Amino acid sequence: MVVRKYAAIIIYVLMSFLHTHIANAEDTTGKPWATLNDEQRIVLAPLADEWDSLRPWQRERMLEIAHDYPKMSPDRQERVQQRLSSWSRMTPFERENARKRYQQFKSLPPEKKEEMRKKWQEYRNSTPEKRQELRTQHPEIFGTEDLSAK
Amino acid sequence: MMQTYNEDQAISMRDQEIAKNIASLLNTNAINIDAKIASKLSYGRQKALANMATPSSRLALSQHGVLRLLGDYWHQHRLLITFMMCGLGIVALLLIQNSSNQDDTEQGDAFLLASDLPPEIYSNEGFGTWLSENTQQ
Repeated sequence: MVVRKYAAIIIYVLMSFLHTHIANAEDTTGKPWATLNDEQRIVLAPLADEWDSLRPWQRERMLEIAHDYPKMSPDRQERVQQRLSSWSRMTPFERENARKRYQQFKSLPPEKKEEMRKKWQEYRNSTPEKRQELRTQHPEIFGTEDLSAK
Repeated sequence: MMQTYNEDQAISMRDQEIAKNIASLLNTNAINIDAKIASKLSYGRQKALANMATPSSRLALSQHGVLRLLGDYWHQHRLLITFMMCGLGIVALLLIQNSSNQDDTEQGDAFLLASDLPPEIYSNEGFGTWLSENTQQ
């Protein structure tokens, strides 16, 4: 009798845990703009106009960005806001490729990463003519269109 | 007093006599019982004995102590315990998943967007080639 009582309590706790877990998972997917809290709206402000047209999984990804945003320094936060719109317009394939290469880039030796950062800084500080020249010379690094403002 | 004792003894002796008669009657009839019925009875007896012997044979290794208690408990509540173990397994998996997701936050999209290079560079096929070459070196 006592065993059954304990078993019932354990089963109830397990069911509650599963229910909460599923509810949390569903909660983040279909949130309209009006239901976001103030912090989320501030971070995701560049996406305000298009938010309600985003697919649930896209919103979930963007909410993850809003979740990580407070952990960053102000200059990094600024970069995130500048790049949010273009990020949301990239195709899922492009984003997935970007994620993979970002991880790959992080695993490079520090001197290689520094070399790439310097090249990018140099590119950003160059004149439009020089940038065009660099893009022609190194399309693998600078791409084919001017990304210096991003 | 003495008379009551004698009466009780007489009743007891009479009961024993009746019991002997019943046993004798059963033995006589058992000898003359039909072979088919005898076979069925023998089979039923063996089956009942086997059923009784099963739990004790499982616990043959642990005749005393905690192990035996656990064995008895397991035998009586095996379905319940199996269900509870499955539930705990699911909860453990979810907890592991949650903690691994928390680890992933350092590698989330926000950190990609905040990196030194713009995301368009990472999605550039040529940059992928450059990365592969420099990773191999």
